[in-house]
Amino acid sequence: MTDRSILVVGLPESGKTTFLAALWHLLNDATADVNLALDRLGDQNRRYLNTIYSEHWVVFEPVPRTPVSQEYPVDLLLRSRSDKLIRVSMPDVSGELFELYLDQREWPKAYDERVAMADGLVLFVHPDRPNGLTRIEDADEVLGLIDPPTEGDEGGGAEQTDEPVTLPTSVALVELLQLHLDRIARDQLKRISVIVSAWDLVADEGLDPGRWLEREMPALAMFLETHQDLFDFKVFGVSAQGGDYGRDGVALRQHLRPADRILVVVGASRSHDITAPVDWVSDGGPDLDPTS
Amino acid sequence: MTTIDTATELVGSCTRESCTAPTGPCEQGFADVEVCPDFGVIEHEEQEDDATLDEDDPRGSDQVSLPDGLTLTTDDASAVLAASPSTVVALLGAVAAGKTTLLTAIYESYIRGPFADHIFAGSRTLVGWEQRCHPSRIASGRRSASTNRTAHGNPRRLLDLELAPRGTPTSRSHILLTDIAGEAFDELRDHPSSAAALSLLVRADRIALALDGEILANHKTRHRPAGELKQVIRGLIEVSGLHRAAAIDLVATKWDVVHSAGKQVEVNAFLEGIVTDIATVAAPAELQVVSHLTAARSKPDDGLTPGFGIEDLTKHWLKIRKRVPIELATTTAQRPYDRYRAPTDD
Repeated sequence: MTDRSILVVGLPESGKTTFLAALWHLLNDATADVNLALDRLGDQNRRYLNTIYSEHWVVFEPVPRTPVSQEYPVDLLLRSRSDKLIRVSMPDVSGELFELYLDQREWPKAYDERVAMADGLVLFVHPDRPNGLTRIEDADEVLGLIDPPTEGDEGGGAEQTDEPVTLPTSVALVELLQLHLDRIARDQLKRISVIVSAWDLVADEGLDPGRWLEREMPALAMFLETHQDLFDFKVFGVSAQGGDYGRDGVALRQHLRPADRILVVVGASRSHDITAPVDWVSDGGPDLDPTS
Repeated sequence: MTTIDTATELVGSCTRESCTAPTGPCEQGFADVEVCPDFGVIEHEEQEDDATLDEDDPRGSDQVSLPDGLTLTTDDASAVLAASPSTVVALLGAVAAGKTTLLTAIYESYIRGPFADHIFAGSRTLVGWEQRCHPSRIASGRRSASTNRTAHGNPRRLLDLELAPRGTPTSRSHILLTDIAGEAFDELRDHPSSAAALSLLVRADRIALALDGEILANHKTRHRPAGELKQVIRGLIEVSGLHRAAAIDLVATKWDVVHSAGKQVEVNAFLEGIVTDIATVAAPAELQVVSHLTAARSKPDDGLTPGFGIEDLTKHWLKIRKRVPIELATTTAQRPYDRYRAPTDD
């Protein structure tokens, strides 16, 4: 029986696979000073993690996207130093299933049961994903192209239909959280870790991950803030690669210990411990940064 | 049950008597049964066995329906209203008066940051909101912003916003906004008895009547909206009483058009005349009538602030928040959002 059940969710290309590869390194690094250790892993998952690690992460090659047709859920059993058994499930590494769930408004019963067991969530966010919120008039203003409204602009045009539209990223993430929270009993969900992946892309902007989320994904940030009576949350900036392999490859390869290129930022604190978001959400770690 | 996994050449069994893994699904829900702490794996030499594993994909064929996120039914709305302090605003107006544009301007303000002293806390109708916003976004591929016409006949026309005051972020409440088609407004005008079918009007905390500023600025057409509104209000009071509504808001839309034409003073005075007329009609129901000027798509070139008047109108609507007593089936909801869930097949 596990003590904690953590579910990992995120849209496509949000950095989940690269995170897994770096996490796998740390879990196999006997010298790493981390709170979590691997307790058990199925052979299928082991083969997958070994592949993304040895053929990509450790040789400084970008971890490729895994098409949903070729993937299977990743389940890890980890054990904390306090002897807690923690299940970390990533049912959809590609993220394409989550997009499908949002679009089709249904998900498998097996997944629903999995969600109902969760007492922690890890949500992935990628800073490069377009937010999809830009209005035509705002873009026109920037470009200096002001078109007068066309005839029928104010509701006289086409009839509103219920055809699906792609939700902007921050809205999609709020909806994803709402759908998951719907299925989890009150007082069961304790914590949500938000991982802003590829943190190296935005680290120079001078914002901590929480402030970055407020600026770039305000809907998601406000949703999390307004639900702190139901769960705690923390925003982590994580660079599992350490940087861009093309731009920073030479510098990254100088590290004698591969784990030293991993960057984990929460509030004002920085570390190389990529287990930290999972550790925190499973209630295992100390308060990493009281200001975050 | 013990079985042989020909793929991994392992023998395994589950210590839970009731669990049939690995031939059946793991009772603990593990996709890879070897990870389950109750499953014991025994190393085994290569075996010839024709036993096959049940390879149920945990992403199986049985599906669970999720709320569609479009608009709320009256029942959904009742559940929301019964659960937390809420405000219901019924927005009415003729076709193309700018009702949906007004509503989407409010929504888009909230998903971008704090607005009207409140912050966004979610919505049960995010898909509905985004469908309405889509024609004005770059992602639509359009060259100029537009708003689609609200379809008539759909009984589900409530849009939801969950908000919290900036100073007390966990004090969440809902504002439910009706998006009633202009054709329904025409029906109300012509057949006041149709108000009975719009039960939300009876439950509304605010009745907001959209008046097209472009029409008000035109001497030829400006008297028509006032006449229509008086008929609608009179009919609503006669049929439904409207005694729950705290106030009637006359919302002039497209004020940027009025401003650009230099007719602000004239149209404002005309609007105040309409307020007086409506107040007289609404007197039997003791309803206060207040006017508001808005321009949801105003640009700096128009001489108005972007989203002119929208924030003040929203603050006005959020001032009054009350729990509307609605008869509701007893819920044994255990999950935070259970009470808001659309009916499922469960």
